[in-house]
Amino acid sequence: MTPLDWAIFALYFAGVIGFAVWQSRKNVGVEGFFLANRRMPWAAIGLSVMATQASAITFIGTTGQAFDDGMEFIQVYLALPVAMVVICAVFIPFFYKAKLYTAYEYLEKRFDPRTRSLTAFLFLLSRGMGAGIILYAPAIVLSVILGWDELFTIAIMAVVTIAYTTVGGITAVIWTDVIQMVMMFGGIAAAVLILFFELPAGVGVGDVAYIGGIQRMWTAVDLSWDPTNTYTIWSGLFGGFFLALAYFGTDQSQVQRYLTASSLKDSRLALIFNAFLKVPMQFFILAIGVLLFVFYHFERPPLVFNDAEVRVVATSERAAEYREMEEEQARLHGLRREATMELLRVREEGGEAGAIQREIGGYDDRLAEIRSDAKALVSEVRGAASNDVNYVFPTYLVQYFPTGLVGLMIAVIFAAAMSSLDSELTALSSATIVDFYERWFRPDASQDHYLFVSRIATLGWGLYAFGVALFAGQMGSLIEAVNQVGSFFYGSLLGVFLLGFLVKGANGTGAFWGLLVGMATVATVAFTTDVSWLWYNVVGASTVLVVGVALSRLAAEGDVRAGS
Amino acid sequence: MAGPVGSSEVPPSGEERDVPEPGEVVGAAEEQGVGIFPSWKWLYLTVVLYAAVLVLLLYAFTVTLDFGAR
Repeated sequence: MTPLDWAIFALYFAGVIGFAVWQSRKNVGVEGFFLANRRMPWAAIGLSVMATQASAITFIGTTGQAFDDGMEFIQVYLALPVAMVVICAVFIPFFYKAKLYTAYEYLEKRFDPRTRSLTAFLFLLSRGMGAGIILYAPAIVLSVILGWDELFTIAIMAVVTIAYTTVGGITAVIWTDVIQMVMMFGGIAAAVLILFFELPAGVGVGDVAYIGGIQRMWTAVDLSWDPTNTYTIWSGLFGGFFLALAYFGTDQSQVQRYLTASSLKDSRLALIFNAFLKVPMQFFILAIGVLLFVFYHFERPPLVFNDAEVRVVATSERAAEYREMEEEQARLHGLRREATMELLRVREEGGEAGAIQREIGGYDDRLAEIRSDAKALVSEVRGAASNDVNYVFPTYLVQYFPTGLVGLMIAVIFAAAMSSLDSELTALSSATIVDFYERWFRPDASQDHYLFVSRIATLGWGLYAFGVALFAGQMGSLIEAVNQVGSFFYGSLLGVFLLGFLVKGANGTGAFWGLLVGMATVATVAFTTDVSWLWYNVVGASTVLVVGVALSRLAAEGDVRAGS
Repeated sequence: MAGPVGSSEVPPSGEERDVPEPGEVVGAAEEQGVGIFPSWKWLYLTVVLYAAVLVLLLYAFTVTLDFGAR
């Protein structure tokens, strides 16, 4: 990075901290700290909801995923608008009417304390770990790409985020999310435009579409029915619907956002805002990955983008094998480049491009195969899964982005991570204090005391996330890792909430044991079948509903018999 | 949060809170207009139609830009 990049990067951090502290000056008490005194405007909440979900993992992981596999990941988001409608119509009225601090409070009012505590505990368990991964993902990538010390990279993100979250609470979090989300929009637009400008002269939008289409990289809808295929339209519409319902409707990191609205209408509008914008945003993020795929038809890409992994292989006894792969990749890339230029010439002259297109398709297949073999070789040498998809976009940024914009884009990656981490910290802190500390240990303490311990809890969770980030290790594609962890709990948690919202006769016995059976079922499916993780949410929610209704009836009949 | 400071404006997280029953209609807000929409139902319907149009557009996008088999 040049001094200009560093200046922009530093300006971002100073701006975020200053703005956060300034915005949080009106907070009053614990309600101010956790719920911004319920006075946030819907547009700010909407952007915060989006920023919380769109972490750095989304930004760098999915672009890399699209570089390797195309646009298919977008199917996960296609049911999101419908899920938002269901949350607005069914979930939010319950939360809003009850004037809650956390989503899990509702479950005590509706069922019993143990169901509330178990769901809050599961949230803390999964989200605590998730917060660490959110921090780790960009830090490890940037430390490799920029040569920064890994500990320093994790620490700078953690310290700044913990500082403004602990001082300013949810108000600081939401307003910094607004800045960070605007930066992300700018970053996405800049990346798309610069990728086009970096292409050779004469390569137009139609050519880009054509070259990507040869390898079916633009395939955004897969109609196949195979449940072991992770990304199909069916797993997206059903699994993605349940995932969105569970995440946006029951996860405290999201529920807390719309509880800060001044009215039911504003809470709903914040989610409707996401219903309209989320899919187009994800489309452009994935399109960056496909544009990179096209771009690297003209420039030779690294065989493996993670330079740290390449260095490990280069000093291993399999170094010669890797060098052979690199030489073959260089040869094939040269041939593909020539064929691609020829294709452009033929297309411009209006000639028949079928043969050249098939030739390019053959090179694409062979190059993808070599890259896959190289990643497997790296994994074998290191004894851990390769997470190379996370290095594709940052490598491109550093090598090809103009001075100044590199600093801005690195700041955008930091912003994406911090805007998710800050939300997790306030959510974890609110569940810790409201669902456990106040509920079980100190129900009658003063507001000042609660505010003090809330800040301590925020700090504590920040340090925990920092610790997890240091040991996150090798988890393959990080976007999938975070979602997979969540999927073990999400579906079942959703099932409990649906039981409360929709089934009048459901009781605490049905909810509590239904939740446990739901999670056991998801774990069984995960460990004994090849069914894609996107279906876990469907399995978990359905199991809890069926078992919860059955056990509720049995418990009610038992009560009647005992009474008579 | 329960507690002496600001407790009048801050609802406690304990038993006093009101939780609607399943199936209960929460407020008359559903029938109120939202911007250009006459009611929430029309806005929801628009979002669902939007989602359907997105799926169709992406399918058309997929088919149109699939040059692999040609």
